[in-house]
Amino acid sequence: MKELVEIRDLWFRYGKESAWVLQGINLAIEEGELVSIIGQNGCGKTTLVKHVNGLLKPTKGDVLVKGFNTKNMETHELAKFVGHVFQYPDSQIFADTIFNEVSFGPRNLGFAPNEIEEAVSSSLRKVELQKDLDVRPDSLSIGEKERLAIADILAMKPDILILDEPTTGQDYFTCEAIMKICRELVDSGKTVMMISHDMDLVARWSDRVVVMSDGKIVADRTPAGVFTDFDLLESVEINPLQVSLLARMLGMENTPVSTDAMIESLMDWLPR
Amino acid sequence: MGKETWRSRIENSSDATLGLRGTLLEIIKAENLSVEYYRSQFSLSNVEVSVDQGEIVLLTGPSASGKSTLLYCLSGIIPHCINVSRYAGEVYICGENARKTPFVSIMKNCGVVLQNPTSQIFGMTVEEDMVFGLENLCLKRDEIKNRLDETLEFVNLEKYREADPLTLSGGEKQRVAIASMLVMRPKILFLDEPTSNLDPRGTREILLMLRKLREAGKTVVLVERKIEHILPFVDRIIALDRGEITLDAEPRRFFADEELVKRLGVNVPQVVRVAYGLRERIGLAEIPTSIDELRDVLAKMRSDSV
Repeated sequence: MKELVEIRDLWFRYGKESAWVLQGINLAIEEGELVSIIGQNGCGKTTLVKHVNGLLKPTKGDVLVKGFNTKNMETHELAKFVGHVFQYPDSQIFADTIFNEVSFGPRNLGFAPNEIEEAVSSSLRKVELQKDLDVRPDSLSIGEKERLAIADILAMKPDILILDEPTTGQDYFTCEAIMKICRELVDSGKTVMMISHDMDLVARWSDRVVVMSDGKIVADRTPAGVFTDFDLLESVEINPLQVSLLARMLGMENTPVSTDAMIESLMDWLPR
Repeated sequence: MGKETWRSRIENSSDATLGLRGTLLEIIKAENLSVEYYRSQFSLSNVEVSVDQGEIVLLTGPSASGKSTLLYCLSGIIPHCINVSRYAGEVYICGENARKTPFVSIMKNCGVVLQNPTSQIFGMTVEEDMVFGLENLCLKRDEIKNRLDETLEFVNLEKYREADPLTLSGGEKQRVAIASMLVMRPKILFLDEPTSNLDPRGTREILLMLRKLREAGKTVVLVERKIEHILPFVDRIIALDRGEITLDAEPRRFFADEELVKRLGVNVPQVVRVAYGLRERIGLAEIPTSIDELRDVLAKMRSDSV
Protein backbone atom coordinates (compact mmCIF):
# COMPACT_ATOMS: atom_id res chain seq x y z
CA MET A 1 0.00 0.00 0.00
CA LYS A 2 1.24 3.45 -0.91
CA GLU A 3 0.39 6.60 0.95
CA LEU A 4 -1.44 8.92 -1.36
CA VAL A 5 -2.22 11.69 1.07
CA GLU A 6 -0.25 12.50 4.17
CA ILE A 7 -1.35 15.26 6.50
CA ARG A 8 1.13 16.21 9.23
CA ASP A 9 0.12 18.35 12.18
CA LEU A 10 -2.15 20.55 10.10
CA TRP A 11 -3.39 23.75 11.68
CA PHE A 12 -5.61 26.18 9.82
CA ARG A 13 -7.47 29.40 10.42
CA TYR A 14 -9.18 31.65 7.89
CA GLY A 15 -7.62 34.88 9.21
CA LYS A 16 -4.88 35.92 11.60
CA GLU A 17 -7.36 36.98 14.26
CA SER A 18 -9.89 34.19 13.78
CA ALA A 19 -10.18 30.95 15.72
CA TRP A 20 -8.40 27.79 14.64
CA VAL A 21 -10.67 25.72 12.40
CA LEU A 22 -8.27 22.78 12.23
CA GLN A 23 -6.13 21.96 15.22
CA GLY A 24 -3.28 19.52 14.71
CA ILE A 25 -4.70 17.08 12.15
CA ASN A 26 -2.64 13.98 11.38
CA LEU A 27 -4.01 11.69 8.72
CA ALA A 28 -2.56 9.25 6.19
CA ILE A 29 -4.68 7.89 3.38
CA GLU A 30 -3.62 5.02 1.17
CA GLU A 31 -4.43 3.96 -2.36
CA GLY A 32 -7.63 2.00 -2.72
CA GLU A 33 -9.44 3.23 0.38
CA LEU A 34 -12.93 4.62 0.83
CA VAL A 35 -12.60 6.98 3.77
CA SER A 36 -15.63 8.71 5.24
CA ILE A 37 -15.39 11.83 7.36
CA ILE A 38 -18.22 12.43 9.81
CA GLY A 39 -18.99 15.08 12.43
CA GLN A 40 -21.33 17.99 13.07
CA ASN A 41 -21.42 21.02 10.76
CA GLY A 42 -18.67 23.47 11.61
CA CYS A 43 -16.25 20.82 12.91
CA GLY A 44 -13.86 21.33 9.99
CA LYS A 45 -14.66 18.48 7.58
CA THR A 46 -14.96 20.62 4.48
CA THR A 47 -11.98 22.77 5.51
CA LEU A 48 -9.91 19.60 5.86
CA VAL A 49 -10.74 18.15 2.44
CA LYS A 50 -10.15 21.51 0.76
CA HIS A 51 -6.52 21.12 1.83
CA VAL A 52 -6.17 17.94 -0.20
CA ASN A 53 -6.84 19.62 -3.53
CA GLY A 54 -4.94 22.76 -2.54
CA LEU A 55 -7.94 25.10 -2.41
CA LEU A 56 -6.66 25.93 1.06
CA LYS A 57 -3.03 25.89 2.20
CA PRO A 58 -2.02 25.05 5.78
CA THR A 59 -1.47 27.88 8.24
CA LYS A 60 0.90 25.46 10.02
CA GLY A 61 1.90 21.92 9.16
CA ASP A 62 2.08 20.08 5.83
CA VAL A 63 -0.18 18.32 3.39
CA LEU A 64 1.49 15.90 0.98
CA VAL A 65 -0.35 14.56 -2.05
CA LYS A 66 1.49 11.82 -3.93
CA GLY A 67 4.60 13.00 -2.12
CA PHE A 68 4.25 16.62 -3.29
CA ASN A 69 3.80 19.28 -0.64
CA THR A 70 0.68 21.30 -1.53
CA LYS A 71 2.49 24.46 -0.38
CA ASN A 72 4.65 24.22 -3.50
CA MET A 73 1.86 23.27 -5.88
CA GLU A 74 -0.79 25.28 -7.68
CA THR A 75 -4.38 24.10 -7.44
CA HIS A 76 -4.49 23.42 -11.19
CA GLU A 77 -1.46 21.12 -10.84
CA LEU A 78 -3.17 19.23 -8.04
CA ALA A 79 -6.32 18.97 -10.18
CA LYS A 80 -4.58 16.22 -12.16
CA PHE A 81 -4.59 14.05 -9.05
CA VAL A 82 -7.43 15.29 -6.93
CA GLY A 83 -11.03 15.78 -8.03
CA HIS A 84 -13.40 17.60 -5.73
CA VAL A 85 -17.17 17.34 -6.08
CA PHE A 86 -18.66 20.20 -4.13
CA GLN A 87 -21.57 20.04 -1.73
CA TYR A 88 -24.04 21.81 -4.00
CA PRO A 89 -23.86 20.78 -7.67
CA ASP A 90 -25.28 24.15 -8.72
CA SER A 91 -22.15 25.86 -7.43
CA GLN A 92 -20.03 23.74 -9.75
CA ILE A 93 -22.07 23.38 -12.93
CA PHE A 94 -21.68 26.34 -15.29
CA ALA A 95 -21.67 25.29 -18.94
CA ASP A 96 -24.50 25.55 -21.49
CA THR A 97 -24.52 21.89 -22.52
CA ILE A 98 -23.70 18.58 -20.88
CA PHE A 99 -20.81 18.03 -23.32
CA ASN A 100 -19.22 21.41 -22.62
CA GLU A 101 -19.69 20.83 -18.92
CA VAL A 102 -18.04 17.43 -18.72
CA SER A 103 -15.33 18.17 -21.31
CA PHE A 104 -14.18 21.34 -19.54
CA GLY A 105 -11.87 19.55 -17.14
CA PRO A 106 -10.11 17.20 -19.56
CA ARG A 107 -9.79 20.03 -22.12
CA ASN A 108 -8.01 22.18 -19.56
CA LEU A 109 -5.75 19.33 -18.56
CA GLY A 110 -4.65 19.09 -22.20
CA PHE A 111 -6.32 15.82 -23.22
CA ALA A 112 -6.30 15.10 -26.99
CA PRO A 113 -9.68 15.55 -28.77
CA ASN A 114 -10.37 11.82 -29.02
CA GLU A 115 -9.37 11.39 -25.38
CA ILE A 116 -11.80 14.14 -24.40
CA GLU A 117 -14.68 12.43 -26.20
CA GLU A 118 -13.79 9.13 -24.60
CA ALA A 119 -13.50 10.73 -21.14
CA VAL A 120 -16.90 12.44 -21.53
CA SER A 121 -18.75 9.36 -22.70
CA SER A 122 -17.13 6.99 -20.21
CA SER A 123 -17.73 9.24 -17.22
CA LEU A 124 -21.36 9.87 -18.20
CA ARG A 125 -21.78 6.12 -18.60
CA LYS A 126 -20.32 5.54 -15.14
CA VAL A 127 -22.81 7.91 -13.50
CA GLU A 128 -25.61 6.50 -15.67
CA LEU A 129 -26.66 9.86 -17.03
CA GLN A 130 -28.24 8.96 -20.34
CA LYS A 131 -29.03 12.32 -21.85
CA ASP A 132 -28.22 13.98 -25.13
CA LEU A 133 -24.90 15.80 -24.97
CA ASP A 134 -26.49 19.11 -26.00
CA VAL A 135 -29.03 19.14 -23.16
CA ARG A 136 -28.84 22.18 -20.90
CA PRO A 137 -27.62 21.20 -17.40
CA ASP A 138 -30.10 23.58 -15.75
CA SER A 139 -32.99 21.49 -17.10
CA LEU A 140 -31.83 18.47 -15.07
CA SER A 141 -33.27 17.36 -11.75
CA ILE A 142 -31.19 17.77 -8.61
CA GLY A 143 -30.24 14.08 -8.61
CA GLU A 144 -29.13 14.29 -12.22
CA LYS A 145 -27.14 17.45 -11.51
CA GLU A 146 -25.31 15.70 -8.68
CA ARG A 147 -24.37 12.86 -11.01
CA LEU A 148 -23.34 15.36 -13.69
CA ALA A 149 -21.07 17.09 -11.17
CA ILE A 150 -19.46 13.73 -10.41
CA ALA A 151 -19.06 13.02 -14.14
CA ASP A 152 -17.25 16.38 -14.52
CA ILE A 153 -14.65 15.21 -12.06
CA LEU A 154 -14.41 11.59 -13.23
CA ALA A 155 -13.63 12.86 -16.73
CA MET A 156 -10.31 14.20 -15.41
CA LYS A 157 -9.46 10.70 -14.19
CA PRO A 158 -8.24 11.74 -10.75
CA ASP A 159 -6.45 9.42 -8.31
CA ILE A 160 -8.36 10.87 -5.40
CA LEU A 161 -12.03 11.71 -5.53
CA ILE A 162 -13.41 13.97 -2.84
CA LEU A 163 -17.16 14.03 -2.36
CA ASP A 164 -18.71 16.57 -0.02
CA GLU A 165 -22.14 15.27 1.06
CA PRO A 166 -22.82 13.62 -2.30
CA THR A 167 -26.07 11.96 -1.25
CA THR A 168 -27.80 14.89 0.47
CA GLY A 169 -31.24 15.27 -1.03
CA GLN A 170 -30.80 12.23 -3.24
CA ASP A 171 -33.24 9.36 -3.50
CA TYR A 172 -32.29 5.78 -2.75
CA PHE A 173 -31.45 4.87 -6.36
CA THR A 174 -29.13 7.85 -6.80
CA CYS A 175 -27.42 7.20 -3.43
CA GLU A 176 -26.79 3.60 -4.36
CA ALA A 177 -25.59 4.57 -7.84
CA ILE A 178 -23.15 7.12 -6.39
CA MET A 179 -21.81 4.67 -3.83
CA LYS A 180 -21.38 1.96 -6.45
CA ILE A 181 -19.34 4.38 -8.56
CA CYS A 182 -17.18 5.06 -5.50
CA ARG A 183 -16.73 1.37 -4.75
CA GLU A 184 -15.70 0.62 -8.34
CA LEU A 185 -13.16 3.45 -8.27
CA VAL A 186 -11.74 2.17 -5.00
CA ASP A 187 -11.59 -1.39 -6.27
CA SER A 188 -9.64 -0.16 -9.27
CA GLY A 189 -7.05 1.37 -6.95
CA LYS A 190 -8.39 4.94 -6.67
CA THR A 191 -9.10 6.63 -3.38
CA VAL A 192 -12.36 8.22 -2.30
CA MET A 193 -12.79 10.67 0.56
CA MET A 194 -16.42 11.31 1.40
CA ILE A 195 -18.11 13.67 3.83
CA SER A 196 -21.56 12.49 4.87
CA HIS A 197 -24.22 12.78 7.55
CA ASP A 198 -25.90 9.56 6.46
CA MET A 199 -24.53 7.11 9.03
CA ASP A 200 -26.29 4.07 7.58
CA LEU A 201 -24.60 4.78 4.24
CA VAL A 202 -21.23 5.48 5.88
CA ALA A 203 -21.35 2.21 7.83
CA ARG A 204 -22.33 0.20 4.77
CA TRP A 205 -19.82 1.50 2.25
CA SER A 206 -16.70 2.83 4.00
CA ASP A 207 -13.41 1.06 4.66
CA ARG A 208 -12.52 3.60 7.29
CA VAL A 209 -14.35 6.30 9.24
CA VAL A 210 -12.70 9.48 10.50
CA VAL A 211 -14.69 11.23 13.24
CA MET A 212 -14.10 14.96 13.68
CA SER A 213 -15.10 17.36 16.43
CA ASP A 214 -14.03 20.97 16.97
CA GLY A 215 -11.26 20.87 14.40
CA LYS A 216 -9.71 17.65 15.67
CA ILE A 217 -9.83 14.02 14.69
CA VAL A 218 -11.32 12.18 17.65
CA ALA A 219 -11.42 8.71 16.08
CA ASP A 220 -10.06 7.00 12.98
CA ARG A 221 -11.25 3.39 12.80
CA THR A 222 -13.21 0.83 10.82
CA PRO A 223 -16.97 1.48 10.59
CA ALA A 224 -17.56 -1.22 13.24
CA GLY A 225 -14.95 0.38 15.49
CA VAL A 226 -16.76 3.72 15.34
CA PHE A 227 -20.40 2.64 15.39
CA THR A 228 -20.12 0.19 18.28
CA ASP A 229 -18.49 2.83 20.51
CA PHE A 230 -21.59 4.48 21.96
CA ASP A 231 -19.56 6.73 24.28
CA LEU A 232 -17.69 8.13 21.31
CA LEU A 233 -20.92 8.67 19.36
CA GLU A 234 -22.57 10.39 22.31
CA SER A 235 -19.59 12.69 22.78
CA VAL A 236 -19.96 13.94 19.19
CA GLU A 237 -23.78 13.93 19.32
CA ILE A 238 -24.29 11.33 16.62
CA ASN A 239 -27.09 8.80 17.03
CA PRO A 240 -26.07 5.13 17.00
CA LEU A 241 -27.22 3.02 14.07
CA GLN A 242 -30.68 1.51 14.55
CA VAL A 243 -29.39 -2.08 14.51
CA SER A 244 -26.64 -1.36 17.05
CA LEU A 245 -29.09 0.37 19.36
CA LEU A 246 -31.57 -2.47 19.05
CA ALA A 247 -28.86 -5.03 19.90
CA ARG A 248 -27.99 -3.10 23.05
CA MET A 249 -31.65 -2.77 24.01
CA LEU A 250 -32.10 -6.51 23.67
CA GLY A 251 -28.97 -7.15 25.73
CA MET A 252 -27.24 -8.99 22.90
CA GLU A 253 -23.56 -9.77 23.39
CA ASN A 254 -22.27 -8.33 20.13
CA THR A 255 -23.17 -5.02 18.50
CA PRO A 256 -23.79 -5.43 14.78
CA VAL A 257 -23.52 -2.43 12.46
CA SER A 258 -25.10 -3.98 9.37
CA THR A 259 -28.59 -5.35 8.90
CA ASP A 260 -27.26 -8.67 7.60
CA ALA A 261 -25.11 -9.16 10.70
CA MET A 262 -28.07 -8.20 12.87
CA ILE A 263 -30.33 -10.75 11.22
CA GLU A 264 -27.68 -13.45 11.73
CA SER A 265 -27.26 -12.48 15.39
CA LEU A 266 -31.00 -12.49 15.90
CA MET A 267 -31.31 -15.99 14.48
CA ASP A 268 -29.01 -17.12 17.33
CA TRP A 269 -30.64 -14.88 19.90
CA LEU A 270 -34.16 -16.07 19.20
CA PRO A 271 -34.85 -19.56 20.54
CA ARG A 272 -35.54 -22.26 17.96
CA MET B 1 -51.70 -2.16 23.98
CA GLY B 2 -53.59 -0.01 21.53
CA LYS B 3 -51.51 2.14 19.25
CA GLU B 4 -52.05 5.82 19.78
CA THR B 5 -53.77 7.27 16.76
CA TRP B 6 -53.88 10.83 15.56
CA ARG B 7 -57.56 10.80 16.37
CA SER B 8 -56.98 10.03 20.04
CA ARG B 9 -54.23 12.63 20.09
CA ILE B 10 -56.55 15.27 18.75
CA GLU B 11 -59.31 14.36 21.15
CA ASN B 12 -56.95 14.54 24.10
CA SER B 13 -54.98 17.56 23.03
CA SER B 14 -55.56 20.99 24.45
CA ASP B 15 -53.22 22.78 22.16
CA ALA B 16 -54.03 26.20 23.44
CA THR B 17 -50.41 27.19 22.84
CA LEU B 18 -50.94 27.09 19.14
CA GLY B 19 -54.57 28.04 19.13
CA LEU B 20 -55.86 25.09 17.23
CA ARG B 21 -58.58 23.15 18.82
CA GLY B 22 -61.14 22.22 16.29
CA THR B 23 -63.49 19.60 15.11
CA LEU B 24 -62.22 16.60 13.24
CA LEU B 25 -62.39 17.24 9.58
CA GLU B 26 -60.88 16.62 6.24
CA ILE B 27 -58.61 19.60 6.19
CA ILE B 28 -57.09 19.13 2.74
CA LYS B 29 -58.51 17.37 -0.25
CA ALA B 30 -57.14 17.01 -3.76
CA GLU B 31 -59.52 15.69 -6.41
CA ASN B 32 -58.25 14.28 -9.66
CA LEU B 33 -55.41 16.79 -9.66
CA SER B 34 -53.14 17.08 -12.70
CA VAL B 35 -50.41 19.66 -13.02
CA GLU B 36 -47.76 20.34 -15.64
CA TYR B 37 -45.07 22.98 -15.78
CA TYR B 38 -43.74 24.85 -18.77
CA ARG B 39 -40.68 23.07 -20.21
CA SER B 40 -40.08 20.76 -17.30
CA GLN B 41 -40.24 17.05 -16.68
CA PHE B 42 -42.03 17.38 -13.34
CA SER B 43 -45.77 16.85 -13.25
CA LEU B 44 -48.68 15.35 -11.37
CA SER B 45 -51.40 13.24 -12.90
CA ASN B 46 -54.78 12.31 -11.46
CA VAL B 47 -53.74 12.66 -7.84
CA GLU B 48 -56.31 12.02 -5.10
CA VAL B 49 -55.26 13.00 -1.58
CA SER B 50 -57.18 13.56 1.59
CA VAL B 51 -55.62 14.77 4.85
CA ASP B 52 -57.54 14.88 8.11
CA GLN B 53 -56.96 17.43 10.80
CA GLY B 54 -54.19 16.43 13.18
CA GLU B 55 -52.58 13.99 10.81
CA ILE B 56 -48.86 14.03 10.13
CA VAL B 57 -48.41 12.99 6.52
CA LEU B 58 -45.10 12.20 4.88
CA LEU B 59 -44.71 12.57 1.11
CA THR B 60 -41.82 10.60 -0.30
CA GLY B 61 -40.53 9.17 -3.57
CA PRO B 62 -37.54 9.32 -5.91
CA SER B 63 -36.21 12.49 -7.55
CA ALA B 64 -38.66 14.12 -9.95
CA SER B 65 -41.55 12.06 -8.58
CA GLY B 66 -43.66 15.15 -7.84
CA LYS B 67 -43.37 15.28 -4.03
CA SER B 68 -42.58 18.98 -3.83
CA THR B 69 -45.07 19.78 -6.59
CA LEU B 70 -47.79 18.05 -4.58
CA LEU B 71 -46.74 19.94 -1.44
CA TYR B 72 -47.00 23.22 -3.38
CA CYS B 73 -50.46 22.29 -4.66
CA LEU B 74 -51.78 21.25 -1.26
CA SER B 75 -50.59 24.56 0.19
CA GLY B 76 -51.91 26.75 -2.65
CA ILE B 77 -48.45 27.91 -3.75
CA ILE B 78 -49.45 26.30 -7.04
CA PRO B 79 -51.26 27.91 -8.83
CA HIS B 80 -50.89 31.21 -6.92
CA CYS B 81 -47.10 31.69 -6.78
CA ILE B 82 -45.77 29.26 -9.36
CA ASN B 83 -47.06 29.40 -12.93
CA VAL B 84 -48.08 26.10 -14.40
CA SER B 85 -49.04 25.26 -17.96
CA ARG B 86 -51.83 22.92 -16.87
CA TYR B 87 -53.90 22.73 -13.71
CA ALA B 88 -56.83 20.35 -13.76
CA GLY B 89 -58.90 19.03 -10.89
CA GLU B 90 -59.42 20.79 -7.59
CA VAL B 91 -57.70 21.23 -4.24
CA TYR B 92 -59.66 22.21 -1.14
CA ILE B 93 -57.80 23.66 1.82
CA CYS B 94 -59.92 24.00 4.96
CA GLY B 95 -62.96 23.67 2.74
CA GLU B 96 -61.96 26.45 0.35
CA ASN B 97 -61.19 25.91 -3.31
CA ALA B 98 -57.47 26.68 -3.62
CA ARG B 99 -57.76 27.91 -7.20
CA LYS B 100 -60.62 30.33 -6.59
CA THR B 101 -59.68 31.58 -3.13
CA PRO B 102 -57.34 34.57 -2.89
CA PHE B 103 -53.85 33.55 -1.82
CA VAL B 104 -54.02 35.79 1.25
CA SER B 105 -56.98 33.80 2.57
CA ILE B 106 -55.23 30.50 1.93
CA MET B 107 -52.13 31.68 3.74
CA LYS B 108 -54.16 32.30 6.88
CA ASN B 109 -54.50 28.54 7.14
CA CYS B 110 -51.17 27.38 5.73
CA GLY B 111 -47.61 27.84 6.92
CA VAL B 112 -45.00 26.77 4.39
CA VAL B 113 -41.32 26.24 5.14
CA LEU B 114 -39.16 25.75 2.07
CA GLN B 115 -36.23 23.39 1.79
CA ASN B 116 -33.60 26.06 2.36
CA PRO B 117 -34.73 28.16 5.34
CA THR B 118 -32.39 31.03 4.46
CA SER B 119 -34.47 31.69 1.37
CA GLN B 120 -37.35 32.83 3.53
CA ILE B 121 -35.59 34.39 6.55
CA PHE B 122 -35.07 38.11 6.11
CA GLY B 123 -35.37 39.76 9.54
CA MET B 124 -32.29 41.30 11.15
CA THR B 125 -33.19 39.52 14.38
CA VAL B 126 -35.15 36.36 15.11
CA GLU B 127 -37.87 38.48 16.70
CA GLU B 128 -38.12 40.78 13.70
CA ASP B 129 -38.45 37.83 11.36
CA MET B 130 -41.18 36.31 13.46
CA VAL B 131 -43.34 39.40 13.96
CA PHE B 132 -43.39 40.49 10.31
CA GLY B 133 -46.49 38.47 9.46
CA LEU B 134 -48.29 39.48 12.64
CA GLU B 135 -47.65 43.17 12.07
CA ASN B 136 -49.04 42.81 8.58
CA LEU B 137 -52.18 41.27 10.01
CA CYS B 138 -52.46 44.47 12.09
CA LEU B 139 -52.64 42.54 15.35
CA LYS B 140 -52.52 44.43 18.64
CA ARG B 141 -49.17 44.90 20.32
CA ASP B 142 -50.07 42.69 23.29
CA GLU B 143 -51.31 39.92 21.05
CA ILE B 144 -48.10 40.04 19.02
CA LYS B 145 -46.01 39.87 22.16
CA ASN B 146 -47.97 36.95 23.57
CA ARG B 147 -47.73 34.95 20.41
CA LEU B 148 -44.03 35.72 20.07
CA ASP B 149 -43.24 34.58 23.63
CA GLU B 150 -45.34 31.45 23.24
CA THR B 151 -43.81 30.42 19.94
CA LEU B 152 -40.22 31.17 20.96
CA GLU B 153 -40.73 28.85 23.91
CA PHE B 154 -42.33 26.21 21.73
CA VAL B 155 -39.38 26.08 19.32
CA ASN B 156 -36.90 26.57 22.16
CA LEU B 157 -35.29 29.69 20.71
CA GLU B 158 -35.89 32.16 23.56
CA LYS B 159 -32.22 32.89 23.99
CA TYR B 160 -31.82 33.79 20.32
CA ARG B 161 -34.60 36.38 20.31
CA GLU B 162 -32.20 39.23 19.54
CA ALA B 163 -29.77 37.18 17.44
CA ASP B 164 -29.19 37.65 13.73
CA PRO B 165 -30.86 34.54 12.25
CA LEU B 166 -28.17 34.11 9.61
CA THR B 167 -25.50 33.58 12.28
CA LEU B 168 -27.38 30.57 13.68
CA SER B 169 -26.75 26.91 12.88
CA GLY B 170 -28.72 25.03 10.22
CA GLY B 171 -31.12 23.46 12.70
CA GLU B 172 -31.69 26.78 14.43
CA LYS B 173 -32.34 28.58 11.13
CA GLN B 174 -34.82 25.87 10.20
CA ARG B 175 -36.55 26.41 13.54
CA VAL B 176 -36.66 30.19 13.01
CA ALA B 177 -38.34 29.63 9.65
CA ILE B 178 -40.83 27.24 11.24
CA ALA B 179 -41.41 29.62 14.17
CA SER B 180 -42.17 32.48 11.76
CA MET B 181 -44.93 30.29 10.38
CA LEU B 182 -46.23 28.91 13.70
CA VAL B 183 -46.57 32.37 15.13
CA MET B 184 -49.25 33.03 12.51
CA ARG B 185 -51.16 30.04 13.93
CA PRO B 186 -51.74 28.23 10.67
CA LYS B 187 -54.02 25.20 10.73
CA ILE B 188 -51.61 23.27 8.54
CA LEU B 189 -47.83 23.33 8.48
CA PHE B 190 -46.00 22.30 5.30
CA LEU B 191 -42.33 21.37 5.51
CA ASP B 192 -40.21 20.66 2.43
CA GLU B 193 -37.33 18.37 3.47
CA PRO B 194 -36.87 19.89 6.92
CA THR B 195 -33.90 17.70 7.88
CA SER B 196 -32.21 16.85 4.60
CA ASN B 197 -29.66 19.68 4.75
CA LEU B 198 -28.98 19.36 8.47
CA ASP B 199 -26.24 17.66 10.46
CA PRO B 200 -27.11 15.05 13.11
CA ARG B 201 -27.46 17.72 15.81
CA GLY B 202 -29.81 19.88 13.71
CA THR B 203 -31.82 16.81 12.75
CA ARG B 204 -32.33 15.96 16.43
CA GLU B 205 -33.60 19.50 17.08
CA ILE B 206 -36.16 19.30 14.29
CA LEU B 207 -37.34 15.86 15.39
CA LEU B 208 -37.91 17.15 18.91
CA MET B 209 -40.02 19.92 17.47
CA LEU B 210 -41.96 17.53 15.29
CA ARG B 211 -42.74 15.48 18.39
CA LYS B 212 -44.12 18.60 20.08
CA LEU B 213 -46.19 19.52 17.03
CA ARG B 214 -47.57 16.02 17.04
CA GLU B 215 -48.45 16.22 20.71
CA ALA B 216 -50.14 19.55 20.06
CA GLY B 217 -52.31 17.90 17.42
CA LYS B 218 -51.02 20.01 14.55
CA THR B 219 -51.66 18.96 10.97
CA VAL B 220 -48.31 18.62 9.22
CA VAL B 221 -47.56 17.67 5.63
CA LEU B 222 -43.89 17.13 4.96
CA VAL B 223 -41.61 15.95 2.20
CA GLU B 224 -38.55 13.94 3.16
CA ARG B 225 -36.35 11.36 1.48
CA LYS B 226 -34.33 10.12 4.44
CA ILE B 227 -37.22 8.87 6.49
CA GLU B 228 -35.62 6.65 9.15
CA HIS B 229 -35.66 9.23 11.94
CA ILE B 230 -38.95 10.82 11.03
CA LEU B 231 -40.98 7.63 10.86
CA PRO B 232 -41.95 7.43 14.57
CA PHE B 233 -43.74 10.79 14.25
CA VAL B 234 -45.67 10.02 11.08
CA ASP B 235 -49.27 8.79 10.77
CA ARG B 236 -49.32 8.15 7.06
CA ILE B 237 -46.90 7.87 4.17
CA ILE B 238 -47.75 8.76 0.60
CA ALA B 239 -45.28 7.61 -2.03
CA LEU B 240 -45.18 9.23 -5.44
CA ASP B 241 -43.56 7.99 -8.61
CA ARG B 242 -43.51 9.96 -11.86
CA GLY B 243 -46.31 12.23 -10.73
CA GLU B 244 -48.66 9.52 -9.54
CA ILE B 245 -49.48 8.26 -6.08
CA THR B 246 -48.34 4.67 -5.89
CA LEU B 247 -48.83 3.92 -2.21
CA ASP B 248 -50.78 5.65 0.56
CA ALA B 249 -50.85 3.87 3.91
CA GLU B 250 -50.00 4.09 7.59
CA PRO B 251 -46.32 3.18 8.17
CA ARG B 252 -46.65 -0.53 8.98
CA ARG B 253 -48.92 -1.21 6.05
CA PHE B 254 -46.77 1.01 3.86
CA PHE B 255 -43.75 -1.23 4.38
CA ALA B 256 -45.67 -4.51 4.10
CA ASP B 257 -44.81 -5.03 0.41
CA GLU B 258 -41.01 -5.14 0.33
CA GLU B 259 -40.71 -5.38 -3.42
CA LEU B 260 -42.99 -2.42 -4.06
CA VAL B 261 -41.25 -0.27 -1.45
CA LYS B 262 -37.85 -0.99 -3.00
CA ARG B 263 -39.12 -0.34 -6.50
CA LEU B 264 -40.35 3.07 -5.31
CA GLY B 265 -36.81 3.99 -4.29
CA VAL B 266 -37.75 4.53 -0.66
CA ASN B 267 -34.80 4.76 1.72
CA VAL B 268 -35.74 1.72 3.80
CA PRO B 269 -34.72 2.17 7.47
CA GLN B 270 -32.42 -0.43 9.04
CA VAL B 271 -35.17 -1.63 11.39
CA VAL B 272 -37.45 -2.39 8.46
CA ARG B 273 -34.63 -4.14 6.57
CA VAL B 274 -34.04 -6.35 9.62
CA ALA B 275 -37.78 -7.05 9.82
CA TYR B 276 -37.81 -8.06 6.13
CA GLY B 277 -34.93 -10.48 6.80
CA LEU B 278 -36.69 -12.02 9.76
CA ARG B 279 -39.99 -12.28 7.93
CA GLU B 280 -38.29 -14.21 5.15
CA ARG B 281 -36.67 -16.65 7.56
CA ILE B 282 -39.06 -17.13 10.43
CA GLY B 283 -42.15 -15.16 9.49
CA LEU B 284 -43.44 -11.91 11.00
CA ALA B 285 -47.10 -10.92 10.98
CA GLU B 286 -46.35 -7.20 10.70
CA ILE B 287 -43.40 -5.04 9.75
CA PRO B 288 -42.37 -2.85 12.70
CA THR B 289 -41.11 0.58 11.66
CA SER B 290 -39.37 1.79 14.81
CA ILE B 291 -36.70 0.37 17.11
CA ASP B 292 -39.13 0.21 20.01
CA GLU B 293 -41.73 -1.69 17.99
CA LEU B 294 -39.21 -4.22 16.73
CA ARG B 295 -37.73 -4.65 20.21
CA ASP B 296 -41.19 -5.41 21.62
CA VAL B 297 -41.91 -7.93 18.86
CA LEU B 298 -38.57 -9.69 19.39
CA ALA B 299 -38.82 -9.69 23.19
CA LYS B 300 -42.26 -11.26 22.90
CA MET B 301 -41.06 -13.92 20.47
CA ARG B 302 -38.31 -14.85 22.90
CA SER B 303 -40.46 -14.94 26.02
CA ASP B 304 -43.29 -16.82 24.26
CA SER B 305 -41.07 -19.73 23.43
CA VAL B 306 -39.38 -19.99 26.83
